Amino acid sequence: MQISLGPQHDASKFQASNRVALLIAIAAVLLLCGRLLVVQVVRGERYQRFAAIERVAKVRALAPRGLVKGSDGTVMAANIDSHSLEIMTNRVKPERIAPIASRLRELLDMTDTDYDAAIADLSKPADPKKRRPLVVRKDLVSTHCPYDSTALELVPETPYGFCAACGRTFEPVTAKKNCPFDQRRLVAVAGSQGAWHCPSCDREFMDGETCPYDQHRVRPGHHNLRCALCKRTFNDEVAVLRAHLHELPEARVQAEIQREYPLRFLASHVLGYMGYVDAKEMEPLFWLAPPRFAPTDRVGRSGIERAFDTSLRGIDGEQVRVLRSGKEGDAKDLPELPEQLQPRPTVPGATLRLTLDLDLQRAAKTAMKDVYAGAVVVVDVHSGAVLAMYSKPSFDPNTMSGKRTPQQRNDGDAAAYAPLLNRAVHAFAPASTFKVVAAIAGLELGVIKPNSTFHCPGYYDFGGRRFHCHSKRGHGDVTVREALRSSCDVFFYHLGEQLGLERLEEYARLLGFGEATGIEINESKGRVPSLPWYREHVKGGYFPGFALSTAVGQKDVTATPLQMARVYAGLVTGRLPTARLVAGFESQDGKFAPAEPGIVRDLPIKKSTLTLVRSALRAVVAEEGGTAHAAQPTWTTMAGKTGTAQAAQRPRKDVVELLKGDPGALNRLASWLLNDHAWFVGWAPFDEPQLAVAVFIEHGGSGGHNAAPVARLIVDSYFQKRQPKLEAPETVAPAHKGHANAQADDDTAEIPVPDPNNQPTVPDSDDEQPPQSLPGQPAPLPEPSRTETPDTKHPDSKGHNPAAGESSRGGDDEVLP
Amino acid sequence: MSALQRLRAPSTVLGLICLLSLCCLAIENLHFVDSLLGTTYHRTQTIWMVLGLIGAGVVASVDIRFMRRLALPTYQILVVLLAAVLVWGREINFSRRWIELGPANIQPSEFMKLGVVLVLADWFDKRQAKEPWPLRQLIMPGALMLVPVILINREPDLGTSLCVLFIAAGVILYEGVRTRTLIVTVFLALVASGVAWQTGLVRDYQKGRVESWYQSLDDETPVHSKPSSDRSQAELALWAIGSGRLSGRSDDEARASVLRHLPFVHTDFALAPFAERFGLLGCAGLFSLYLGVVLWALRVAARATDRFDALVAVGIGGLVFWQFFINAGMVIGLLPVVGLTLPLFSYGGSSALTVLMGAGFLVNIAARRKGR
Repeated sequence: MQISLGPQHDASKFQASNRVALLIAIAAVLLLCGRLLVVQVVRGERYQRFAAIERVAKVRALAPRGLVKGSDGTVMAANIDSHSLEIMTNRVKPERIAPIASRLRELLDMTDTDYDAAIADLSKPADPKKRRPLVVRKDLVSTHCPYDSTALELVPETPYGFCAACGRTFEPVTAKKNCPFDQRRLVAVAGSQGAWHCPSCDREFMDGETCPYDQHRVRPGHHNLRCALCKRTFNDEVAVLRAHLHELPEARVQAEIQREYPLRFLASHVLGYMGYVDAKEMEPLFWLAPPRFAPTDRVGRSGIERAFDTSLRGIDGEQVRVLRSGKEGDAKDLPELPEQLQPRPTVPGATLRLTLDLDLQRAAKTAMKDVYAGAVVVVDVHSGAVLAMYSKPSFDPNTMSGKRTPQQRNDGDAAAYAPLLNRAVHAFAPASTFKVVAAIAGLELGVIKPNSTFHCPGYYDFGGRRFHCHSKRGHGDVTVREALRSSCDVFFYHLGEQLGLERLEEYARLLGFGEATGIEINESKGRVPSLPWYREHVKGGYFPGFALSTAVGQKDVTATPLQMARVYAGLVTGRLPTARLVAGFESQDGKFAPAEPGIVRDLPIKKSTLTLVRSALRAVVAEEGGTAHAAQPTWTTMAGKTGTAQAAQRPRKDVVELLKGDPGALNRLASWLLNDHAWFVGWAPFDEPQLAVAVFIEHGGSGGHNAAPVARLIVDSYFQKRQPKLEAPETVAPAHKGHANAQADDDTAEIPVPDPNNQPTVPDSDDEQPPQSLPGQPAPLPEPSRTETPDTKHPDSKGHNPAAGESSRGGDDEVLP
Repeated sequence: MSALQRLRAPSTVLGLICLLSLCCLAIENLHFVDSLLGTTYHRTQTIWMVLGLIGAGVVASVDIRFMRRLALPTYQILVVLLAAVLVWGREINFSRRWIELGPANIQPSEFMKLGVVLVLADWFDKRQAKEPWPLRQLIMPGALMLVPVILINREPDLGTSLCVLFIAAGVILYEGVRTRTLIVTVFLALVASGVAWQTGLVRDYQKGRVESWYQSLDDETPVHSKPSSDRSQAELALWAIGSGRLSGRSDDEARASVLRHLPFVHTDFALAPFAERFGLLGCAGLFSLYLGVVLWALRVAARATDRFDALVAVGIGGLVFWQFFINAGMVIGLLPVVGLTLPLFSYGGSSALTVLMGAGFLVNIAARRKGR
């Protein structure tokens, strides 16, 4: 130091500064402590509460989907709780993985693969940003059978065995070696002793301790629930897990709502089914719009579920949920929530009530039981309300909607028959049922008189070709009434030639062909060919011979069973109704708001014409020589028209591919495809019409022999119940058996007797023949040759349309899996 | 009286006890943070602490006149490094503060805190003014102060640059300025900060912090308006600290709480886990330790044998005090959030080295006093 000031001097110079600095330091620390007092003591309790809150989030509150009910209020589409087991992976410590997995294996029947997968999933490092839990098992069994959604019933403990290697469950062997579901004989498992297998249900029966398939030890256990329908036994997995959740703090049982269709196969085409949304549907409607769906959402995929998806869906709400130290709760004790965290109430979906009469629907199903494929539509003639709509083969919408696939229904070749196709709204060649169009057009335009006759020698020559009548001998001189009654093709060939295609088209459209019936679900409009249509779609254009074929409903004209029922309803009332399936909406408090009735169009057709046609159609059923003479119902009077559409086909390539492994099924299918389509469209009662019925049997033989008796059964079941108490001859008891529900219908019925009010009831229903001649085996048509079908093979048409029915089957592709 | 005997003075003993206690508490706190984050910061920090103590021992035992000669070159080298760091520095969290040096990242701005203290003390000591300093003569120390402040602010590192500013200003004020000068300077500073706020020199996120701090002073802000990921760290820190209440809560409870979501919990917000675990009482104790170190520095300054020693001691006291006050104030919501470490307590090698070497200077000066 060059300049020594001495410490005293220096210190005194800095004394004031030092004191100020000292005060500042102490004051600062006091200030900090004061603030801490506020933060930790005054507001400490509140902050502690906040600190425990991990997350405050708005959670979507799903609006319950609206129910779908039948006209009598029976629930056809319901919501049931489904449970899944989830593990919050972010809470699983590494040393807990093995204990969790093995405990779950003890509680649930887990296969080794599932067990390994669970361990692998749990071992994956948890992404702290993703808080999505791991779903270990979906659709836990609780109250309903996972295979058929039937309610489970409590039974004494039943032993079973579970093979963790192959995942098979073994039931105790039944005494009679019969499957408890379908009573079929069990098949012994090859190379094993005491192990049996039901080939149709794919169920296993064994009393031993070693799996007959892979020789692994089977884990014994006890079930205490049983499905009332399929007699499988289960445990209440949800209850078991809930009872043990305290051992598994990382796991939880999560409930969600799932769609359930209690009636299963009965009205599946009407109801449709649900499926997960795809990426395209999730896209917002417009830019910046909120997404319409979450990836886990399901939407209606067909039928009513699809047509009314928006109304059934309701509007999802939002709940405010608080996650506190891992436990979720509501936001009750939070201070006032800001605007963006306000909950929003849900708006439940509307409950739909359909026009379907479920008894009639069951009757339709029963009447169709021996049929491979086809459809029945019953329409109220006045309102157009669809009382029954059944399409066969049917499917179980429960399995389509994402439930566990029932292994019991190992359908094999079912897919070849396009079960998803709703044949009631799919267009086929209407054949002779279309003849009313030509008849009405001829009468209206004065081309024919009611009593003018035409001679049918059994064939009709036109344009250098011979068109055959279905009766080779010919019908002789026939009036229009007789021609309709006997379905004389020659008469209508002649009429078609005289009318020409344009006038036929005009009247077909007038009567309701080629247009939408107005039904709410997706439908085909069918086709009424016109000159421009032929020019556009057919190579070689229009040939005058086409009009002849059109007059008898062959060649390019197509119509759906629903359209046919509606056309005939218009025919009998003179007013064409709009078909509809939805009777109305039920509000939450049970109030019923009927849907708006559809437009009813007056048909500008002379009364005399309609009366004549009606009486002719009555004669079809009532008179000797009518094509549906054998189908006169017991309990009412019916009128209608049969049709047999020439529709021989070869199996399509994709179907051949599908059935490659099963030559028997392929042969069955091929011979089935050779048959004609059978139609019957009519109404009942004749005098005071109520129901219009359309029966369509795909490759089902002849309209008179095969379709009309189905209509008879349906109509009978409907009017039988609506009869005043009467006695009936024992001889007419319906001979069908099978479905339990239908059986019940029959049991409740009194012994039938002809109704004196509904005279003349022809007693020829006594010689009732079995409704179908197709019980299981294919193509047992009485005569392989066409009975009623006109030969429409024009030389010029051969090139582009070899089989008349083919064009109508074009829509199958989109439905076949 | 030998140097060692002089070190037995109660103020020095207490000061060193405070200092070492802080070191131990810091390691303990980091140990807890490690259990929260699954990291090993406490081990690394222990190494830094040991290195820092060795450095402190070297500083304490080397002749202070030698080190004084190094003051200006050190300062110049640090200025060059600060400039270099802007160009070649390693970027972490959008800020270039670090120079990669083998396994460690060196933060020159931390050492600059000490450098600016030494160079100012050297400058003032050489001039030996008897009167308080007028404004125009303060241009040179002002420049010495502002060059690093501006450079550090460019990184950007508002916290450290403010800290350097306060430390240097503390030294200058301690040296003594005219009242008029003081008023003019304060006025100029207010104008400058107003201009800085308006012209965008203050960045938007910094404005946001000030605004949210201002709102948080008003207790009843809606706390649940945002999901946890979006909540401000100030808010999270406040909840964590508030959860500590009077006497703190158990480690497990603290672990289950919001601390996991708190960013910089091992560095800038290292006080939050401590406050949650030890409550108001623990914090008061911790603050007392800091106050003890600061008072020791002031005591050393008061008893220093010459102006350089006194100014260095007071500068080191300021170094600890300002960092401590600004950091603690920001963590407990008294001040807006700026990036600044809590001396000794936060994880960070450069910071620990700086503070411990500063303590070495204090020991050195304490041992020298009265002797000459």
